[in-house]
Amino acid sequence: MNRILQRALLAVAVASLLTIAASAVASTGVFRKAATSPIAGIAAIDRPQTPVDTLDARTASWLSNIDAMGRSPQIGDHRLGESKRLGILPNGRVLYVVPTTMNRLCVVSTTDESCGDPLSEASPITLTIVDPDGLGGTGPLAYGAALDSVASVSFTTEGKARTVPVRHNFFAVQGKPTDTTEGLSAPIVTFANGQSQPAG
Amino acid sequence: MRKLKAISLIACVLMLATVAGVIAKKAFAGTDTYCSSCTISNVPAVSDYLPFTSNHSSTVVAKKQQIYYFDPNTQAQSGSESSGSTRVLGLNHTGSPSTFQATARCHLLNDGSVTATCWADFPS
Repeated sequence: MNRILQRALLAVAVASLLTIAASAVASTGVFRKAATSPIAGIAAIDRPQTPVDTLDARTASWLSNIDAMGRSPQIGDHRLGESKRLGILPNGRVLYVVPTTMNRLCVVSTTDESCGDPLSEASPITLTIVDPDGLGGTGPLAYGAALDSVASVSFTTEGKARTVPVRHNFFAVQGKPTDTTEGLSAPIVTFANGQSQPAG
Repeated sequence: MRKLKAISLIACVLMLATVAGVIAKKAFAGTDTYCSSCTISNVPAVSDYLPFTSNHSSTVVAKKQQIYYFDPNTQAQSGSESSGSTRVLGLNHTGSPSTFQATARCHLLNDGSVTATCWADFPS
């Protein structure tokens, strides 16, 4: 009887140790990136974080508050310690990419953020269009991150096509004061192999 | 000794004032959740008139969406929109249209309908 009890206790102890070890590995995130990295296919930011990648205090506070409120359970919390600088917008603001705990992809500046699913061949770019002062002001600004395979993004405003190259997985176009956000909202993506498709 | 007491007293007062300031800021900052798990489509959900600092939308599934500030009297608006892979969109208020005269709004851009939460923050 004692032997059976000893074996049962040993089994429970081994199972507990295995559970603890699995939890520890999961919490360190050792396999997280390999499993489903939201920055896969974006070579310019698929690197260790450097000081220039750190969010400014105001933006970090803004995102922390959103997380604290728990308003966006479908994206999880922002992984602020993994932010990466993607580029500089025509208005001088720095654009960052911030992954979330649910492996969503957020594109963030000091004034705005847009979060969604990781990029894919069907949806190879993120697109955010911001018009801070409406029609007749400085003009809308369209920008985003792109997969490695994307060569350029084309917009049609006032009947004219305007193509901007993708450099280091980043593109941005400053619209004219007379441009509407609608005019920038349906770009065509051209891949390095020459094929084109709507941005999605 | 008297100087040390005075310095200690000043330090305590400053610390208490700082704590009071932080508490006051947190107490008076607010959020207008103008769409709480509601269904949005191309008809916008509309907030109250408040001095907003930011506007947000959050959809259950990825949708092409827009958030903006809109003054119904002048028709002035400023906003942000995004592609169909978006689940969360946020925009800080940058001064236009003037607060108190504008509402915060959210809607989809011809992308069906979806359950969403839209909220706008305002300070003290």
